[in-house]
Amino acid sequence: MQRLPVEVAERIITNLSDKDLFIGSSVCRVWWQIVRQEAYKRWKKYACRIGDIYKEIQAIREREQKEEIEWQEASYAVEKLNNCMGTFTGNQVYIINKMLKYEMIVDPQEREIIKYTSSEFNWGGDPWRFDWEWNEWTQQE
Amino acid sequence: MTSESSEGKKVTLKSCDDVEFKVEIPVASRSILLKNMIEDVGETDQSIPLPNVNEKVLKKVLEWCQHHVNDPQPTNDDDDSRRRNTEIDDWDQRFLNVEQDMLFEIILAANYLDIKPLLDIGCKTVANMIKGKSPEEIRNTFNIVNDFTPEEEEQIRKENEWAEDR
Repeated sequence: MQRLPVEVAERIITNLSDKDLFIGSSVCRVWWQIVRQEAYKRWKKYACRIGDIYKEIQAIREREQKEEIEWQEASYAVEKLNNCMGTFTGNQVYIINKMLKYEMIVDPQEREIIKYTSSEFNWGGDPWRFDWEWNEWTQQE
Repeated sequence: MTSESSEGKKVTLKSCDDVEFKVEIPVASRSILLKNMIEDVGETDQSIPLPNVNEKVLKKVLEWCQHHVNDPQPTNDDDDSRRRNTEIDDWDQRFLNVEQDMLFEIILAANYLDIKPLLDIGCKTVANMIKGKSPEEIRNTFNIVNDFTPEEEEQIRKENEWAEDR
């Protein structure tokens, strides 16, 4: 059988699920590089999705304040979006944790961010600090 | 050359084992490589040699092109979304239900001929085959040489042991 061209290997790896992605990194150095690139892409993709959902939640809250929608309707929509955000955050934390374990993160600051994010997520906190507000309580802190 | 203007006209393709296939231009044009060649060369009686594809594989690839002749040509924009879409339609699933060697030959031919949708479904099928396989099994399947040092391999093995859980 002929050797697999890199671009084909890349397409195969792109089609692996998050869970199967990192098996590929143990195959050879080229696959390790491709998996790393793909993992970064997915990390970014999840970050974008989380950001989009956050904006949607903000928009719903604004409409609620303007009394354009009922609070029950707003709460229901926000709850659904929050669940969605939780799923994406879980997927993202899974990816970045694996990247850390497979020595794919070189930058020390990035490593620290991942460690902090994971511990926040594991303790049920909001790793992205979307719930953070500038108020008296935070000022005292 | 649009598919309307080229309907009925044929082009001859020659496999690496010297077997000729006469195919309609819209069918051959599913391959971007052939489409560009036909556009550049224009009408010709000469056959187009395909030195990387043998008769058996070319026949199979042309069968796929014939079935998908009326599909819209993929654009660069939907390349990423198509890759992410994990669905493979029933006909394609049956089409790719072949021996593993044949599947890889089809993928390599699709890559050479630049038939992205065929390449994608081939790669998706292979990705599904990888699920649950060990790195060693993947290496054997794809004929990949393990270029990690023994120390690196030991480290990977340790990581694999405890990296199974979230």
